Amino acid sequence: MSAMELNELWVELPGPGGPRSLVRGVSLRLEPGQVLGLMGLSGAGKTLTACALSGLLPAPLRVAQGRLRLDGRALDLTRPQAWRGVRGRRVLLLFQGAGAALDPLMRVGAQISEALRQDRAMAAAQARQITGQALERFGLDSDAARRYPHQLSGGMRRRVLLALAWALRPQMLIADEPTNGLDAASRDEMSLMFTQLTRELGAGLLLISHDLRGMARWADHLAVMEAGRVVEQGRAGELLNRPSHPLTRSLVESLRYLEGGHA
Amino acid sequence: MSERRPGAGRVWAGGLLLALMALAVWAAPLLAPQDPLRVELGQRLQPPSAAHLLGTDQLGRDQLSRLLYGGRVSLLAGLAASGAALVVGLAWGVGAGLAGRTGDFLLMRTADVGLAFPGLLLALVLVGAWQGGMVALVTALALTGWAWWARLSRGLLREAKSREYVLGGRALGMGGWRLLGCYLLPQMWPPVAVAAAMKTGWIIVALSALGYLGLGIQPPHPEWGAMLQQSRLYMSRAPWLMLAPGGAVFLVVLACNLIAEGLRRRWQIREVRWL
Amino acid sequence: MPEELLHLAGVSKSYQDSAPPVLDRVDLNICAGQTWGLSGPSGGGKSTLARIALGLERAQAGAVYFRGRDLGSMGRAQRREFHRQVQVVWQDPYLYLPPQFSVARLVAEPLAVHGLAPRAQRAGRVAELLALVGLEPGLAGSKPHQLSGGQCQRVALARALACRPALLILDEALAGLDTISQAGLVKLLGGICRERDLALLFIAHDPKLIRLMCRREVELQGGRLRERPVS
Repeated sequence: MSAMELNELWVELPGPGGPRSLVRGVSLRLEPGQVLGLMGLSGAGKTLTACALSGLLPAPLRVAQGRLRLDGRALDLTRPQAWRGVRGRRVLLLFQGAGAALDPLMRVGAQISEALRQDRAMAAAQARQITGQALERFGLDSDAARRYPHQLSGGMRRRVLLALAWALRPQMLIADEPTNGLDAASRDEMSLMFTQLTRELGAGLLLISHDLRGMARWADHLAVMEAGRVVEQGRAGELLNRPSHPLTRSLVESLRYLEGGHA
Repeated sequence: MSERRPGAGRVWAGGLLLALMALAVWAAPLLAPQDPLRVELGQRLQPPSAAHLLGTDQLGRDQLSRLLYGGRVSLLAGLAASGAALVVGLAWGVGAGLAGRTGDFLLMRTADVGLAFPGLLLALVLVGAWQGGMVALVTALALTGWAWWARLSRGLLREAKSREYVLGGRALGMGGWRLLGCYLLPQMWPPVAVAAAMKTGWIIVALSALGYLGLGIQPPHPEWGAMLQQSRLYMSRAPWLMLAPGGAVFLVVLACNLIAEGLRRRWQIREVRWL
Repeated sequence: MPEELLHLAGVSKSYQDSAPPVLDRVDLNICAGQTWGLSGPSGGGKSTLARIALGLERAQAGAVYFRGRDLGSMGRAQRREFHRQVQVVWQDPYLYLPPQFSVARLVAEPLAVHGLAPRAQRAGRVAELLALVGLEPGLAGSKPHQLSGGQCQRVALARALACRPALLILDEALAGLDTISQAGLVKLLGGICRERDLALLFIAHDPKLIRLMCRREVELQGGRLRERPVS
C-alpha cells in the first residue's frame, strides 16, 4: 500500500457575517503501517479534521477544500459522493467513547457481519466465519457476539471496534481519543492493541489524543495543531527532543514535568 | 424573525394579541357600545352595520357588546383558572419532588387519582352541582388541571435534582432553600412557561365547551360558548352570529399557541451548543 | 502529632445485595497538612469513597469522623462548617459548575453561603481568588461553556479555596485535561498546598500524577484499601 496524503483541508462553519474557517489548510501524510499522532489543545480542530477525513462532518459544518490521496485515487473531500464505496472499506473512524460508533439496536456480532457483507461484498457464511475470527483475535468469545453494545463494558466495546477494523481491513484508521476514561493499565493495553493492529493490517493510523504520554510512546510521527493549522510535523523522536514551535515546546515541557516531576 | 433571539417574533405577536384582547374585555364597560342585555326585538338578526359592528342576535342584542362582556368570563376566567391550576399543581409537584419516598408516593398517588378523572366530565359535575356561577367555573377548571401540573413539575424537579452541579452545591454546603431557589427552580421555568401558554389555550376552549353545553354562566349573561350554542339555530340565516364568538376563541387559542411556540424556540435553540 | 481531620472507620458500601461490596471496611485517616493519593481501577469505588467522605452519601457500615465528631450525629450548623472545611474539585467542570452563572458569581457563591465576606467586599475577594488560581480578571464575566477545560477547573478550584478549607479532595480533577493544563494545575496545587498547609486527597487513576503531588498513597482494589509504599 502507498502512503495516504491529505492536502490543504479547509473546514468552515457558515454563519451570519460570512463563514468561519475552523480547519485551515491542514496537510498530513500517513505512512502505511505507521502511527501519526495528532496533538493540540481543545478546539484546535483535531476532531473536525478526523470527521472531514472520513466524510462524517456534521451539518452545518462543511469542507471548503481538500484532497485525499488514498490507494492511488485522489478524492475530492468537498463532494460527498466521493465517499461512496470508500468509507468503511478504506477509512474507519473510531469515535470518542466507543458506545457511539456501534448501533445500539443490533447485536455486536451481527454488526460486524453486516459491515463485511456490505463493504466487502462477502457471502453470509464467509462473513460469519471472519466475524468469529475477528472477535477471537481480540479476546471476545461467541457469547459476546450475541450481545448488544449496552450489555458490554467500555473495554469490551472498544475491542469490538478493533475487531471490526481487523475484519474490514481498511487502509486508514482514525482513532479519536480511544483511551479516554480508561485507567493507566487499560490504556497501555488498548494502545498496544491499536498499534499491533495497524502494523498487522499495514494501514495508517491517525491517532488523536489528549494523552501526550501515550502518544509519545506509540506514535511514529507527530503533528501539532493550533487554531486549525498544523504548526509542526515530524518524526516523533525528533519533535519531542527538539521542538521548535512554542506550543510544541509547552507541550513537551509539560510532558517532561508530569513524567519526571521536575519543573 | 431575528437571528439573535429565535422565536421572539412569535412571542411578541401572540403576546400582543392576547394582551389586546384581555385589555379589551377588561375595559368592556368603557368600550361596549351598548348594554349587552338590552333586548330590542325590532332589530332582530341584523347583519353587521354601522350601528351594530358585529350585527345583532335573535333578541336584537348588540353582538359586539356581548362579545366584549362575554370575554370577561371566557378569557379572564380562563386565565384565572389556568393560573390557579398552575400554582397549586406546581407547589404540589415541587413538594413531592423534594419529599422523601413516602411523601412523594402519597402526594403523587393523590395526583394520579386527580388525573384519572376525565377533565371535562369532572368540571361538568362540579358546575352542575354548584349551579353555575363564575367561582364555580374557575374552581372546576382549576381542579381538572392541577394534577397535570403536579406531574410535570415533579418530573422537572427530579430531573433538575439529578444534575451534577446540584451535588456540587450540596458539597459546597448550600442549604435546601438556596439550592431550590438558585439551582432547581430556575431550571424549571422554561418548560413550565411553554406548558402554561399551551394549557391556557386549552382551558379557554374547555370553558367555552362548558358554556356551549349550557353549564357556564347562565343566560342572559353573555359568554362565548353559550353564544356559539345559540347561533347554531340561525346558522344559515345569520352566519355572523357564529363567526364572532368562534373567531374570538380561535384568536385566543392562536395567541396562546404562538406564545408557546415562540418560547419553545427561544429556549430550545439555546440548548444546542456546537463547538 | 498533626491534628486528625478526616477519619473513615470501617466504611462499607455496596450497591446491590448480590454484588461484591464497592467499599469493604475501608479505613483512612487524613491529618492536617498531609497529601494522600488514592488510586485504583476505573469504576472501582473511588468516587463513592469521595462522596461518603464529603457527607453526600451514607455508608452502610462504619462511620466518618471529622475532627473527632461523627458526621451522622452533626447538627445543621456543624454540617455546614464541615462542608466549609472539606472541599472538593470534581472531574468534569462543565457538569459540576452550574452553567447559567458567570465566573464571578460562581466564585462569590461560597462566600455568600458561608457568610465569609459582606456583600461589599465580595468583588475584592473574588478578584484575589481569580489571581490566586491564575485566571485573568477579564474572564470574570464569562460562563463555563465559554472557557476551556483547564480554565473551568481553575474556576472550580477558586470556588473550593474561597471557603479556606482544611482539606481539599480532588476527584479525578485532572483527567481529560490536555497536558499543558494538567502540568499547570499540578504546579498551582503544589504551591497552594504548601503555602496554606492544606491537606489533600487526590483521587486519580494515573500513578505518576499521584507521585508528583502526594507523599502517601493508597490503592482501592476489590473494595479494600491498601497503602502503597511511595518510592
